[in-house]
Amino acid sequence: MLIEWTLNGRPMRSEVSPFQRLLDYLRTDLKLLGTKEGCREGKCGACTVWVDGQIANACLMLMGQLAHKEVTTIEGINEKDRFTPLQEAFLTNSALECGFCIPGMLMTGTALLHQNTNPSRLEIRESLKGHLCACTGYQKILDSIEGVGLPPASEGQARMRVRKP
Amino acid sequence: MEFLSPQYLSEAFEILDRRGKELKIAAGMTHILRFHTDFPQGLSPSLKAILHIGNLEVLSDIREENQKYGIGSTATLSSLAADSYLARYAPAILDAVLATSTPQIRNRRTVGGEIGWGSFHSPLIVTLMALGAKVRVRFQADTGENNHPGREDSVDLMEFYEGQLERTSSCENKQVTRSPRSKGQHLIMKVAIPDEMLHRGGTFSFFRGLRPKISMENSGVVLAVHGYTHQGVIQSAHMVASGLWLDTLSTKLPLEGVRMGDTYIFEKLYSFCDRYSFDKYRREGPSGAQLGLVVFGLLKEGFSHLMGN
Repeated sequence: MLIEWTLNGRPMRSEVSPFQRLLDYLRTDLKLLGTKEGCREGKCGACTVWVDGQIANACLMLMGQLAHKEVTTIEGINEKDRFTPLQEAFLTNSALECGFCIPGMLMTGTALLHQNTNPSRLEIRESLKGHLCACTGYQKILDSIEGVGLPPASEGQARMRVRKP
Repeated sequence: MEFLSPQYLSEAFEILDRRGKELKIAAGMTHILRFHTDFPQGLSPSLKAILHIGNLEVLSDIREENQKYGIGSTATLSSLAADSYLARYAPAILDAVLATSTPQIRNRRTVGGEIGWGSFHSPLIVTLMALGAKVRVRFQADTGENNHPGREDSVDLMEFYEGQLERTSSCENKQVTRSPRSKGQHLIMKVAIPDEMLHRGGTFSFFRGLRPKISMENSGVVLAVHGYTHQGVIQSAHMVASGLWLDTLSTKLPLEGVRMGDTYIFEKLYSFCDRYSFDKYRREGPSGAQLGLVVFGLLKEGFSHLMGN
């Protein structure tokens, strides 16, 4: 089946089985390995991509569903090989350990920040409901997303909200 | 296996009438892909094609028409959550949607898919039932002896189901869901909530769910209440609940004449839950007494929230 769709801003015409999952097509056929394969059941969020600007699990989408849709993966969110403010915040806050869940977290965090430039802690928690991270305990990830809405810090310093004791 | 993705509703009807029995109708596909991990291999051998209706924009409308609030079957759960009319007049729907699965899945899962799958754990189904929703269904035309064209019908959501359906995948996944009453092939077109359930003066509704910590998908117990008050006194209150006991419970709450805000509500609710025969509905899960306590806890939480506590 010939599918016409857009991937990371580039128009695509893909001759694929409509039953192939988007995740498999990205990783196996296109070698876009930033989108991770975790549970394949939509529970871990490691395969999160944007479909028409909304976050979705690539493991729960068939190529047949993607006709005329616009898909963005983690490879498509950088501008000219520069880190986004959220990626910078993850680095400066040490919000990643093994890094497996991070592409998905970045996709969700960036989508949230597009909708709301200064989300509350609760809104960030709600948006990350579909992600699992076995290493960090989530707090530094929450700090990073929360911190992007703050004014820039000096170089090398994390953008973090200082909590009163 | 074929993948049919019509662009127009008439095209979908034509495929439905011609090939009804050998079709599986799907839109967001989140239920089916999670359940059949080796999709499409795990499907019944009699199925020859997937009819994908997710691109039919005409079925994704959410709007008021003919004194009903219509929700198209391919409207996603996140589009329900974003609807300002529903947020204002049916906050229970917003709560139910936000209690469903994850944001990623809510962006893909459709209202028709949620109703078609018929999970006993679905927050949206009990809430729509409590709000008296009707389902508009298009049945396959009979090309045999009777030779009648495809017909459309509106059915109460409560009447849409009958008994249980045990679903099994080729990977030995098993799930017991509600079984649609109609055995013929049918396409869910939309769900309609009567206007009077939404913005008649003094209307109230809430949704509450108890979610086991180990599961993001299946709530243990889901419960929705809809009712009316007049000058602060409850005139009627109706509860629909379902969950791990694998049946749907629909009953009036004995709160007529009680003033909203009076803590006597909780005594009445406790007495009701203590005496109610939950065992009659229970197929699996905890005992009737345990369920009574869980339901009381959820009702108490919901009414406390309404009363501003």
